[in-house]
Amino acid sequence: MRQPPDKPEDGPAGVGIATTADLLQRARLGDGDALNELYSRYLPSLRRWARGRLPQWTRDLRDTDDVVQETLVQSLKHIGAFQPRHEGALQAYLRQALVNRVRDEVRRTTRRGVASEIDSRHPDEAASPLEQAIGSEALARYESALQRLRAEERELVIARVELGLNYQQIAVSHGKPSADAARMAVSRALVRLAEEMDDAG
Amino acid sequence: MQAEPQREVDLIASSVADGSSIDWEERSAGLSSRERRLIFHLRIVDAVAHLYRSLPQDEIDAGDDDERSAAPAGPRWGRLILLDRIGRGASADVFRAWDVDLEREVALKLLVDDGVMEDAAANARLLREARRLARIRHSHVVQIHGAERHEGRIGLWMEFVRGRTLADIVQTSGVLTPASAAGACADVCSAVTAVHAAGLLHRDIKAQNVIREDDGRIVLMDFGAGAEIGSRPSVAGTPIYLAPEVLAGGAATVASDIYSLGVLLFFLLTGRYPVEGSSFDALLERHRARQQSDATELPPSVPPAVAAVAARALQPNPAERFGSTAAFEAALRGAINPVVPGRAASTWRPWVATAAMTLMVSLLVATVANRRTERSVPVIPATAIAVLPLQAASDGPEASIIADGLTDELIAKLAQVQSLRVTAHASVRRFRHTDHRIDEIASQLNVGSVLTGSVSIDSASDSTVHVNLRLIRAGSDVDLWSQHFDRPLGNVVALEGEIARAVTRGVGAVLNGPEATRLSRQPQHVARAEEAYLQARGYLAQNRHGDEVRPAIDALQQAIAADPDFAAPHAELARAYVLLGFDELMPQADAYALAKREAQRALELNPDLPDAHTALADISFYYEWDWVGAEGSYRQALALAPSDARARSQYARMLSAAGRTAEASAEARTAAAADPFSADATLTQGLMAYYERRYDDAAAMLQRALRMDPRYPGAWLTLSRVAEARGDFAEAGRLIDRALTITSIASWRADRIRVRALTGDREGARNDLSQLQRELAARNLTLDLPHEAYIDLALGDIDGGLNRLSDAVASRDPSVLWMAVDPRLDAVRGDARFKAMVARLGRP
Repeated sequence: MRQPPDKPEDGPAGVGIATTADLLQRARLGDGDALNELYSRYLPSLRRWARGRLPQWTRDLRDTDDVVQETLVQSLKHIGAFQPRHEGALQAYLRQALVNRVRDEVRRTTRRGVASEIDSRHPDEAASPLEQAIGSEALARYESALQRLRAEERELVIARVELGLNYQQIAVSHGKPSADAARMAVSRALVRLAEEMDDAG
Repeated sequence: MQAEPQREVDLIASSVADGSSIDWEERSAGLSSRERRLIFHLRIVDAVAHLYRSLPQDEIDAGDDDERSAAPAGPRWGRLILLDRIGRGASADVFRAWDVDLEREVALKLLVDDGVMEDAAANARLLREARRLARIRHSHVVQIHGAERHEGRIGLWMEFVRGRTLADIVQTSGVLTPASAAGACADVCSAVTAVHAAGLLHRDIKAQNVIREDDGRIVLMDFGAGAEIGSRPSVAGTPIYLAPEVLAGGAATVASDIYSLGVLLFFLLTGRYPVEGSSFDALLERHRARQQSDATELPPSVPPAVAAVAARALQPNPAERFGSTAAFEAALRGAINPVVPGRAASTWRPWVATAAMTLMVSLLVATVANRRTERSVPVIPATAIAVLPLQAASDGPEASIIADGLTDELIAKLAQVQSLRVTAHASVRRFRHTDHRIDEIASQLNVGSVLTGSVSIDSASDSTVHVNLRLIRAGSDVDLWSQHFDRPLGNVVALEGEIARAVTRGVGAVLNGPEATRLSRQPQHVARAEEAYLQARGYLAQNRHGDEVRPAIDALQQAIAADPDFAAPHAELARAYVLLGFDELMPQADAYALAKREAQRALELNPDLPDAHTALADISFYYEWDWVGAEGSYRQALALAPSDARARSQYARMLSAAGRTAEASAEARTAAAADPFSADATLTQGLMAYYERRYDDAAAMLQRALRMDPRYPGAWLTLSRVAEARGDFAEAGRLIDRALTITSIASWRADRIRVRALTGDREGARNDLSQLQRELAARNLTLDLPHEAYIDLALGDIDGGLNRLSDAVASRDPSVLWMAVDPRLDAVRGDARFKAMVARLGRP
């Protein structure tokens, strides 16, 4: 049997599709439904990402989910003129907002004198689950290689590896014509990532 | 068996992406250290993925209590699988869905189930909409497939239209050109005509309800507000699009739909509305004010004819609007057909409305409207595409050669897509420096879309190549896609694959799996190698003859020296050696050996390279007489690149030698259709006709080829053969002389001698032959056996001629491959010795 086809690349296809761009536009104009829609679209994957990325101790400071939720609400409210080229770009924007938020959170905690307490903790507790899993050196190599990739490749890797989106979702959010095309794009991005990791020595 | 190294890394990357388990030790065995390192890094990435997968999924999704906003895929409604939600209204959601029974994608409008009570009114509305839609069948109206109730929910499903709403297009890309706006609006008019013919009113015509499909088709959607003509339903529609009389509480009519169409046209032209207001009352007030003042103002860039049509549709008084949507459509189409031939849309002068002009426009509209019914212009799909030569935006001959090379490579990449029909490079070159309008070019090339652009190389920095591209739908001035790329040299061939994919999507076509894989490869090359390769392609694309291919060979050799693993230059080099051998600029044996080596190397490096298969096919056929192998390779090349006119022409020639004349002519015709202005493709058609003894057709084709390229020696030579076959030896001699002024090849001189013999001047022929042999001997060469044989035959020495011909067959001289069909040999065709020779050709 033939497989269902997938959404074409250039996004807003079909009967009044609510694309991210549409939703953002509506949200800016005060459409509460659009804001809710954006919120529910992005919350699950951001949560997942944060769970892997945030060190255990920052996660202890506040409930990770709360931080994610607050960040998302604030970011979407103040999204201003941000015009994502595709949905993956908004993902990246929101992740950056989350990272900034966590940094603020850390700074605040440090000012309160928690730093010394942090330093004395068991190294594993200062590490994110990711660091614990693959070690700081490998993580650093992975991270820096990821940054050197082209934005699209980076987003594909994060979408699949870290956010755990399925190929169908990646196809939709990254403008690939089909799930199969998304799968190939992810595989290629992974090879590129490995090459970058190798170039780093 | 261990796959090749890079392939193994690719496969492991796919496994990591898929999350499948990998035996890392076994997969790394036998690989180079670099490959092992890459696999090691992939193992780290796999660990990252594993960590994330190990995080509890349910926790992640906790809090996502809006079930309907979850990611797509999975849930079913009746025979439909809901893929994703694409729209949401107060009472219904719209999903992209998959019809399992009919295996097609559909759009499903499904009533929201709030779990409390069934909304009888909403149910009834949706069913009414379904029934209304079912009464209309029109290419510009969304087609309904069915309506049903399942699990207590009523849904109607219809064709899934891939594209963007006109509102979205104007919002994101700005207003349409007058021609494009009028064209789109005319299509909507024709849709509304069908609606009215079904006894219905649409009542909600607006830019949000019209989608332009990716291939340019305009589709009217959403019949939720529709009503029977003459009924008095409550006011519906979008206020800003409503006719003043409806806004004031009057009934909707055909005239009010026409008014809404006028608002749509105005919006497409300006991005604004003729009457704007933030409330019902404000709108009514403005409408009243407008009745006293002059009509809506349109920017001066709008042609007067289009402006006049908009003004009439927007008349406050319904009686003064068009009497029907058909009349409105006719007026629009008349307005966009060229009033002054050759006048570009951008040259419209500011319009000052005068009574005289309005009258003129009305007369013109009437005339065109009357003619319209006779005119039926077939719409060429956007998937028939021509790539115009990329313009070199930087100076110098090098830049222009590289621009040609890039164009050629891009055409070759697009030619690999099954669902596209791509015009060959030779045919687009004539539009290299032209001020033809895109529509004219598209019409001459018989294509529905055109890719144009420019390329420049920033040699001051790191040799970054800048490419600017626009994909335009013919007849609409609409950009289907446009993009700017910057890539360092070394990544440009990979970029061409990326562009080909984007263009394919841009014209609404879909790549099949293998095509997507091939065009997604990201080969990286040494910058210098890529530059030299593109130069060579540029040279070869310029239809060079004889020694003129040498610079291409030099450049290809440089490319290979800089990057020996770059497959494409090997394939092009093989092709260039074959050409040199044919043009007798290199001994056949050397040409054969070098071409074969390069073609095989190319295929080792990339088995999916169409040019390499074509080169190998040429070699198998001409030098090895391996008919079956050659046919296999031609077919492989054409499977990889269905629009490759050159490969198809060569295949046609092989088929003609094999005596499969009908197939040969068909292939030659297909090649010429893909390459309508190519002298080579036209020559091939002429040759096929010549072998079929259709001499008038052959002469006409060859003269056409010469009009395309008067310096095409092969066409002059073939034309002389046609003259000879018709018995006009003097003309044949004159035509060969013409060929010889362009390229003096020994075998063609031999042909000239043969024709002299045929005219009866045997003495002169013998003298010329001695002279030619002396010249060749001085260069340690001899005349090919077949040509000596043909001269013998012309001089009446049948035995000598047949003996030499037999030797030529024994030595597998490529010139005799066509002897079974060659009219020059008709005189000896009945001879048993000749028949035996034909049998030895090994034709399948």
